[in-house]
Amino acid sequence: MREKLVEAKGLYKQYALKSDKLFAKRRYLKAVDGVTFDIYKGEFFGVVGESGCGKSTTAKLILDMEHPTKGTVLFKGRDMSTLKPKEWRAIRLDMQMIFQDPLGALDPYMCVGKQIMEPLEIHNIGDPKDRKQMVLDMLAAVSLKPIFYDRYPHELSGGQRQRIVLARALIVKPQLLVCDEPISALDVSIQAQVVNLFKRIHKELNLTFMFISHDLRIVKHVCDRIIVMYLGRVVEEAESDELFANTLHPYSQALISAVPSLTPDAQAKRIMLHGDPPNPIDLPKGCRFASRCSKCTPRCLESEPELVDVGNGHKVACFLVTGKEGINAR
Amino acid sequence: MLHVKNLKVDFEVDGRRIRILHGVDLDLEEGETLGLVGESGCGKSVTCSAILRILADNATVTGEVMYDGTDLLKLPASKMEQIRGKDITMIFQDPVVYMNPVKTIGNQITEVIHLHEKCSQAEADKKAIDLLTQVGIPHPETRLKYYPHQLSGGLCQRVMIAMALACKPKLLMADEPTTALDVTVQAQILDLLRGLNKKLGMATILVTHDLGVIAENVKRVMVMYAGVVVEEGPVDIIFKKPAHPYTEGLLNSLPKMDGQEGDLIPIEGSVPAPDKRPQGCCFGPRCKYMTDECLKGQPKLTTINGTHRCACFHPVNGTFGGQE
Repeated sequence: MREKLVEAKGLYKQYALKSDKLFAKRRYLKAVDGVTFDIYKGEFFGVVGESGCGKSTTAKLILDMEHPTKGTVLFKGRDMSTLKPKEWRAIRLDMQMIFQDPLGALDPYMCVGKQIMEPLEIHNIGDPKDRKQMVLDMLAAVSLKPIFYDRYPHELSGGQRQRIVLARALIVKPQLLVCDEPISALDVSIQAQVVNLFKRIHKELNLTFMFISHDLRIVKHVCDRIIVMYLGRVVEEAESDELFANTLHPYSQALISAVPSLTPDAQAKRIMLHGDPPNPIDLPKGCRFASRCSKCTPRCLESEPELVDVGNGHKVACFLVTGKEGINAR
Repeated sequence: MLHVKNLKVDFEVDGRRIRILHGVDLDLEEGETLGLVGESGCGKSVTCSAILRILADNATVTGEVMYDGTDLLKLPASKMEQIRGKDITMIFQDPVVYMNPVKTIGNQITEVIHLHEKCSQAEADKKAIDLLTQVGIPHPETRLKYYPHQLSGGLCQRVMIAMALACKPKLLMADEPTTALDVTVQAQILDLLRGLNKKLGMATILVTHDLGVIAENVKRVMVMYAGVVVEEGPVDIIFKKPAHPYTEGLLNSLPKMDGQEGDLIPIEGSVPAPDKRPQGCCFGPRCKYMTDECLKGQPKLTTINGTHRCACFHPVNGTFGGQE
């Protein structure tokens, strides 16, 4: 049995909306609406979905940057939200994060070498005399030359900045690295460089990745196991190869078929979705994908399907696949 | 229909002139679809903006843009205004930014119609409803009264396309029309553009950085790098047998959907800044096949086979299978 690093159990996150009237009933935006999954140690775990599906909020809940409205997150078997500040800080060192825009994550007035060193100073890691060498080693690990130590963020290209952010995250030797759309802002030729770097680091450091992206090509290429999210819920979860070879949920099918292929005139097989996702504030009753689903049945409009294991860890939340057992699986 | 010859664009920044576009040639037949592909800063958007003459004041454009026998670059501003939005239109990446937030979408569409045609408000409204129906917006009558912020990104892009189509243009330039959209919505919009191109017979220039979008939506493609067209030809040939090392590199750096294992093959280095161009071929420093000959000068586009042209001293030969 593989060791679980992260266990997300029934996560809910609702944001209260401002209302125009003083005594009006409070309305809530349900960003994450009942999400359960595990991330195993050493795994490259992928989260895909379109904008507004709750991928980033899920990441924030995992990192305890946001507190769930309901549900718990266990990291190495411990509930982050119950820890005392000192313990929390210590355990938080083991989880690091990278976001989409590296320029926004770097201090424009500090040379990048100092920025990579900062976590060491804050957490008091290593001898102060050795720290510079540690930073230089880290720069080498992300394929940057030592001369970059004294550079400032504006002097670097997008790909180099993302390497700096990665170096800063890795220098504290974390166990979990959460990457929220880490390559979306980069050009295609640079994306490949950074993706290869992620893969190499994953192999060399035996690091666990939670990789969030809307780019299915990249996710398929790097991830071992993937969850597909739609409007705050997980609709399908499977090993990467299984998910792409045997896609079960109609939404995942449409999502995968929507990726433009590199073969000219291959659009014939495309499943076209109509309309936009419903508003996460006033969700319809029943399956939340029903309004755009071509296979929708009357039952889909009445109750919401649960995520059910259909074998080999392939889970799907759709009545058409799971049949009757979908109803009472909670 | 459109013949662009030796189009050069210089920008004046801090008293220095920086050349962004280094002589682009572009020919477009009526009803044709052409793709312009390249990474950020390669000059694909500048090419379109220069054709429409909507660049900022610090830009100097030289060359020739022949449209229906007239050189657009030499036309007086008032004449250009009649062509812009009527014969040639453009849609952009972020539709919300290009719309007026305090005017209803109905107002914004009829504004275009009134500008180029004489008709009453009722007629214009009717036309706007037709246009919205054409671009697949449900309940067009009520949507006319909506403001841009009330619509989703996909719907805004549809409204933008409706505006562009208002006067039955002969050429539509789409600058990264789906980059800001989700994949499923992207598929809808591209499907719409393909359909409109067939139905209305207008020529389309599709600008994008996404090779997948190019492969499925145009017949002919031009690959740009650092302000130069490095390769040009039919899509099915270029995706199977790229001749320029840059095109080959771009295709290799994309993960394939059919489950290829192992590492991606990236292009090393990054795009040179426009004021720090390398000597010789602009792609030289990043090119695997560079030789001394490449330092001598920028290679010219030369014919490889039929309409397939490539600007390289040592064209590569079909290392990408193109099979998914």
